[in-house]
Amino acid sequence: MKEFQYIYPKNSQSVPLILGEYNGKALLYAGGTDALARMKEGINRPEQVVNLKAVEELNYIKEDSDGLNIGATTPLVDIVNSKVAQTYGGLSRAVETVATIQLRNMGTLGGNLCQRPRCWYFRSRHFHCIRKGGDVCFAVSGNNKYHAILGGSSCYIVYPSDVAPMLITLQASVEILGPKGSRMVPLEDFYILPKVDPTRENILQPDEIVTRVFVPKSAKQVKSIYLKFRERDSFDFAMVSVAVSAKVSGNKLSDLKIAMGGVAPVPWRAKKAKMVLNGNTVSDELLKKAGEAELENAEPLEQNEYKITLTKNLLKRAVGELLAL
Amino acid sequence: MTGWKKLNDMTYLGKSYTRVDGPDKVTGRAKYTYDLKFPGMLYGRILRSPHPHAKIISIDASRVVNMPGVKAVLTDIKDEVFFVGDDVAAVAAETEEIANEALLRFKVEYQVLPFTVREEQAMLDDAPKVFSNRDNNIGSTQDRTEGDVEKGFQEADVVVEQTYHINVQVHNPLEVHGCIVKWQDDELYMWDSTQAVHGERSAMARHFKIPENKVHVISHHMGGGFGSKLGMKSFHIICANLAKKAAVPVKLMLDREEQFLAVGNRPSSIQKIKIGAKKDGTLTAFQLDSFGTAGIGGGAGVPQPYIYQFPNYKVNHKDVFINAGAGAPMRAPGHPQANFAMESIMDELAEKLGMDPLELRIKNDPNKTRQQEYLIGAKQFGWDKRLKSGSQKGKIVKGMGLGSGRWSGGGNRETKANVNIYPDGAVDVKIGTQDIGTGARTIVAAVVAEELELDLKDVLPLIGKSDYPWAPASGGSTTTPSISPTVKLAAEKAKNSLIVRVADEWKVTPDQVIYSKKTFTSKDGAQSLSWQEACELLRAPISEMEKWNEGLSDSGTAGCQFVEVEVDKETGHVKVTRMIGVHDCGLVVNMLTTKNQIQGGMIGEIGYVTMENRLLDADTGIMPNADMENYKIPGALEMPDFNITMFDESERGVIGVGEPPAIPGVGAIANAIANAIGAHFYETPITPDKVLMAIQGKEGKS
Ligand SMILES: Cc1cc2nc3c(=O)[nH]c(=O)nc-3n(C[C@H](O)[C@H](O)[C@H](O)COP(=O)(O)OP(=O)(O)OC[C@H]3O[C@@H](n4cnc5c(N)ncnc54)[C@H](O)[C@@H]3O)c2cc1C
Repeated sequence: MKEFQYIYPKNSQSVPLILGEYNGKALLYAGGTDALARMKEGINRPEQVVNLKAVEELNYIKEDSDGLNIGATTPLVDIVNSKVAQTYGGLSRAVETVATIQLRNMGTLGGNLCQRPRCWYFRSRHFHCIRKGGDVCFAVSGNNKYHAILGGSSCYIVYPSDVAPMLITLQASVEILGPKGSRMVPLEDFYILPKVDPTRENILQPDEIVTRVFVPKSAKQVKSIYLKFRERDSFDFAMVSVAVSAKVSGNKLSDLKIAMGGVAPVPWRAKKAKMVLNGNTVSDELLKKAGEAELENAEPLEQNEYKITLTKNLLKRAVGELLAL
Repeated sequence: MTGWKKLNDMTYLGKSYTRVDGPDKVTGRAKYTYDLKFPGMLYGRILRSPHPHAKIISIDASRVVNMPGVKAVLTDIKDEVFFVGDDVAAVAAETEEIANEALLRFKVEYQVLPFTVREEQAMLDDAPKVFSNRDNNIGSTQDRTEGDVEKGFQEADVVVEQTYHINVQVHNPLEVHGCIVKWQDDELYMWDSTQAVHGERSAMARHFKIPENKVHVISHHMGGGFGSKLGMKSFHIICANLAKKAAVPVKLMLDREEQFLAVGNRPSSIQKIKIGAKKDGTLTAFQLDSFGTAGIGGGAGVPQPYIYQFPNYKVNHKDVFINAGAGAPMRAPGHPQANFAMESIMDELAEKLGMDPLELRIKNDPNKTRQQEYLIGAKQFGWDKRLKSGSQKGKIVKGMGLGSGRWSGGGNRETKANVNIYPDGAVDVKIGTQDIGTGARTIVAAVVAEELELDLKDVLPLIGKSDYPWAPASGGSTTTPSISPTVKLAAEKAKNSLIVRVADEWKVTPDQVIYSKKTFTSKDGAQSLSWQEACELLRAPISEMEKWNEGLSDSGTAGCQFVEVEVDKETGHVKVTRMIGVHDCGLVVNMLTTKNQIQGGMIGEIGYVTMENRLLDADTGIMPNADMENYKIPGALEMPDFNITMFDESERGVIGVGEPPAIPGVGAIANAIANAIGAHFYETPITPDKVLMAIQGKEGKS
């Protein structure tokens, strides 16, 4: 690892300025569970490391009349254990599926949402892939069992966070702080596909950071659930995951929102499945139709065709479990 | 020499007792090679090849040598590299960080050569050659024949033919490989995470052309090896050369990625099998064409036909070279691969015959011990509740499978041990074995305590040094049958010497002295001394050396395991829910660590069959999953209920059990999955994607 200067910002306001000053050479560092691994592998060789955890004011969970506010450096474990957060649908449960207890102790919410992909070609110093500024995606002709079946183009990473899909279905937004001030952005608009820019996963500019996540009170009026399938139960990223939220009356769903992890380079809004299901009485037949509609245009690579079946099955199961809540 | 006492008369042997070094290990007091530090010590790192095959044209180290903190550089290691991760150059520096940064400053000019990382491709005549001095990529071959296969297949009523593809597994001991070398005058001291302190001593002495008694290898505690730490590897030599150049101790620990690439693996195995049987299940013929790769090494052969008796067979095997790190022995080399293919095809045969898989095995297994083990296991397991394959409805289906294994083990006759009794009553035992996590240190103490009728805590076991009497490498399940008899004999001799001393004191013949439970008494009952008092008669310590002898150990074990799984048909997820193992290993020296060992073997089987997979990128030869995130091994939630029964053959003496339990479950797990969903598997690991696709293939596209 290259030697670096370790910077302790005094408050959140100063962070964008520091990042701007070093012009992309500084690395923002929260829990470090992702950032440190990349530094060790040598795919990030920052000259400055900015310790965001030093900014105490970003570590909180607070409810107000509009909803729930969680500071960016709040450790994931606190969201799992928070009595208030537990009242926001499937949020706490979704966070609990992240990695291991050790990683949830260290990892922060902001870091989780902004973590970089796990694609082994991206993560390896040996491959100068398109996401690192190269010109190919090695997964296309390589080992692509875990890669995207939807939304891939020049790059086939899958979006790794378990928290974002759940938050998106709960209509959460993020507060982004830049040198000129802050703005709120719906989380579903935060992520970008490779066709927009294959080198970034989200809309953040190099001198912008996430300072807060806001979940509206409406999350309490709907039923929501996060279903994660992992190859290894003990700890693993999602092979495929499905977050669902909806108003339920009998077997009818309304205000349905579905976001999926592990299938696309972004948390995938299953809008086609929603069209089929929303407002209708759910039946096995309808669920099958919904899955087929959503995955109709899936483009599996050589080793991940199974994800089509898996996604359809999990979608069906997630909706079923939601109805049973 | 007397034999082992009767099982019921023993305090430790045959019973369960905790490890003498357990508290040290769980509190962190136990120091592993990884933990050691010496004054002035440097940190070594190896620059490794990014190419699967290349000639090294030049290495420019000018930006390395003048880097502050860099103390020694090696650039003359080799001129051709054969796999990604092969050694190129090395550096020793004041900190690990400097050493790592230094690696980035080497400028190496390579002439990149064609390579191959797929064994099927490597076999072809026009494949790129791994070694330019060979005609092709075929290494050693085996041909074995018995009886007349053609005739055997003619006699068969049912014939099954399948090809099995078993992927490469990597050892992954908790402690990665590494050593510290210190030269003192012309003597070499090496602290090493090794399975063979004596083997390393000989190898290092030979390599550096110094007398063996000037090489000292030390391994106090080590974090596992599974066969990958049995011998000297290139990093040992590199470390010693760096230490020589720098004239201070150098520590060279590999990282996890290097462990995946450069220090061994379990070879792949592709087995095309044809098997024939009569209507009543009698096996008539077996034919195998197999190949497999141990990278640039050899040893991918399989001991087929495994377990079951075939009057006629023909076996043909080829080792194939590819541009990948060399294989190394791994817990029962060849057997799990053989087991997977054999047990899989036996189940398919049973299905075709309309016969119960257990019945088919009982009919064709010549081993008498295993015949009994089958019955014990089947009863405990509830084998009679096994359902017809693929017959269950619903999302979650259960399956049952079984498999068998065998192993040799046995003691090494060159083993020696030294037991000392001191005038203050203290006792120690010195033997140059090593504890690779199996509990060897504990049993060394226990056997002496048993013989001297002392408490376990009264005996200090001194192991893990090549300066101690010779003992074999911890491999081949030979450690316990080598060291237990030897240590017992040395203790017995030491005890007899103490009896002689007491007899002298009492002016009687030694046969007039009776020793029992820390007390010496004269036959006439007139005199008595405690252990302590007897030892105080000594003017110098008793120090007795003994050699291994026959009669206290044996070789050859059998075993079988029964496995239950649950398969989620919507996700392809497999959960191993129950594993039952019935094994024998003669006289069990420590029931607790034996069961530990068996359970560990079973956990390894779960990993091997359901998760572990060394991938190689076809375009670059690079292993994309050389880390513990993407190379998956089981964790706590993957643990089934274990139930282990030791089949009592204590009269045979001590037999090893390190490897036998890592075999039977391999095919058993695969068969249990097949039983659950009604589709067979021909490739490991059996991961959810494959299970899902198999279910889909069976039920038609949904
Ligand atoms: C073995 C392993 C298993 C894992 N399994 C899972 C899993 O199952 N599910 C899952 O969801 N995740 C999983 N993760 C990922 C883990 O959850 C993330 O690494 C963690 O949440 C990141 O948080 P952090 O605070 O440590 O981030 P850091 O490592 O500090 O940062 C991560 C990235 O986000 C950026 N960043 C951090 N904070 C902010 C901010 N406020 N604004 C803008 N950018 C920011 C950093 O610059 C960096 O690039 C796993 C990780 C590991 C190592």
